[in-house]
Amino acid sequence: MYSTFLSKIRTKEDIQKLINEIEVILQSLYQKQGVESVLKAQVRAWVSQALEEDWKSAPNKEEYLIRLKEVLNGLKPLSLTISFEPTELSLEKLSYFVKQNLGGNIYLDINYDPRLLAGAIIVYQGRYLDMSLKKAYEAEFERSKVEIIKLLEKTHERL
Amino acid sequence: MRDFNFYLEQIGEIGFIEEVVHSLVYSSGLPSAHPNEVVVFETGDVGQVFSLTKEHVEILLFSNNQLRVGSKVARCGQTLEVPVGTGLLGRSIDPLGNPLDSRALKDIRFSPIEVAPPRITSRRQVTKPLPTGVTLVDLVVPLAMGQRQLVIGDRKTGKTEFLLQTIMTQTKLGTVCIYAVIGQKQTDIKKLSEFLEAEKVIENTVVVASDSSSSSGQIYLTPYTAMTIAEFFRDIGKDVLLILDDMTTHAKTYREISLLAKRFPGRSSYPGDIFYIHARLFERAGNFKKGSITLLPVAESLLGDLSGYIQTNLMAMTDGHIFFDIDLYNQGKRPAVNPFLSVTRVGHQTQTPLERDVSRELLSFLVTYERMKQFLHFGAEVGDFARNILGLGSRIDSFFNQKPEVTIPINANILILSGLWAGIWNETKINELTREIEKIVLAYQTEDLFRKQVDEIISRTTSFSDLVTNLRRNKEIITNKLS
Repeated sequence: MYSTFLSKIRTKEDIQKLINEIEVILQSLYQKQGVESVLKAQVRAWVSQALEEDWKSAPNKEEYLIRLKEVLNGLKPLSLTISFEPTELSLEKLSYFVKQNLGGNIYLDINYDPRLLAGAIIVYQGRYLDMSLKKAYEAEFERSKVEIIKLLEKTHERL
Repeated sequence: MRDFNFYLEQIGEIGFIEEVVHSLVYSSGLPSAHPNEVVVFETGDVGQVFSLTKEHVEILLFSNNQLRVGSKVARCGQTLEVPVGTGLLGRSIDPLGNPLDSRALKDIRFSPIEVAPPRITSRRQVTKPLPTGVTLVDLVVPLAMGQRQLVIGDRKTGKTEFLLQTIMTQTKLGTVCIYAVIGQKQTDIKKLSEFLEAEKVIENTVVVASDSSSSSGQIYLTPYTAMTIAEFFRDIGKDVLLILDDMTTHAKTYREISLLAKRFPGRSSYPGDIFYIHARLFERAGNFKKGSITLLPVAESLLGDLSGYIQTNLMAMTDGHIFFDIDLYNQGKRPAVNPFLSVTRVGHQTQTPLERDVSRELLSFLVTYERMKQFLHFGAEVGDFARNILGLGSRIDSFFNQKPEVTIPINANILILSGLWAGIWNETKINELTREIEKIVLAYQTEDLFRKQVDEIISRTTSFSDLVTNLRRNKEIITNKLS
């Protein structure tokens, strides 16, 4: 029933924005202005369209909206720490990949840390995976620490 | 213990702090955490998984640092282990095994703190006595190696002095002594260390200390750490004396943790598993094939009330108790041990026939003496029999009074008691009596010939009456040392 909404959700900000819109609609259910005016003026077009479509088969609007909020709050986060600020296209690709491989009940929690250089740190359901270039460099430096220090000392002496 | 990043890489699981309630931290994530597993926070703080719920992992924190919500936590993949080894002798450590004097520990390995108590087949009958050096206890409420004897009394009734006298006596006999200070004042911990150093018994002693400002987690851990160290020494064939001072503070700390964790409160708000918490610890002591662990847990009573919840719990899981009576303390008796309310369930079976006879006669006499003293209150005239009882009783009272820094060997005690019974000091005044007893004790401790003579007489005699008769006939054994 909520597939349209779930397919549009990519990030934490998307969820928050949608939940805010649902709150506004819920408040308007028992107000003088009515739901229709709110749907036209205060909510995004695709949201109004999806709601109107679904409400044809769901007679109780309030119950529908409350349930939609619960579904949105129940989505699982996949935390992604990357070294660049992604474009809309990148976000779309990432979200699509994650949903294809892990299921549709997931949203991305994107964090930006340029110190990673490249790659990403992924945290999902308590599992942690550091696939960043920073970690690879650190591991390499640790392995070759002695040789690197000798090289630096030689260079220092030459100078 | 490695740092947070190491465990994060190794285990590959992460949690985020959702809520902090005093010493309990609720974390999301950590899907494979199991109970009692050690976790480390990104700040370097250490905790232990207390319980698991569907949404959260409940972690008991081992530090007082304020953690922020959102901080990361990683599993360590192991249960809590503490350092054990001969390198701990002469050192003071905290419940996590960190030395309090900042010097590194040597000759140690790590041992898990949570182990199941040994089974029946690995236990042995209690057969060896444990002399404490305290006259009243050694004669009336004797202890044995491998016994668990509760030391109970109001605050400031001399319990700690008694324990220190026991340590002084036992370290001279080669017993390893472990003193666990549970949530006491820092000044008391300092005084304890200074006393042990001054009496030169620190080299055979380990102190595991958590003060009252330590975190609840550390206070909770203290007796378990001490028991783990005791088990190491037992396994290398040593006899160990383990003192837990005190278990009522431990119970209160566990109550605090359980109430914060929203466990259902039982009697006096203690959690339902408070008995189990202590019983599973006490069951790890006893007499075993290789060595023994003699356990002396301490409990504080309120206004002499032995019927408190924790007090009766501890009495149920020990092999007897020594009761320090506040009324006797206020009367000036030191130690203030009440021989009528103290019990030893396995101490008598380790005594020689003579010692058992002495114990029986002495206790019987003390009952009669108490009755006579009650009789005096009515102001009635006393006959010769009563006068004799009262005279001997007051001398025995004076004999039992012992300074906290003095320890007396059991044979010296038996000799002096027999001398009192034989009437050697009938004409001596009480203050003179004290001095003369000190002379006998000094002679026993310093003169080899006298000590051998006394030991031989006592080992040959099997009944108290025979010994008394012998001394009546040969008073010079004692009187020669008084001149």
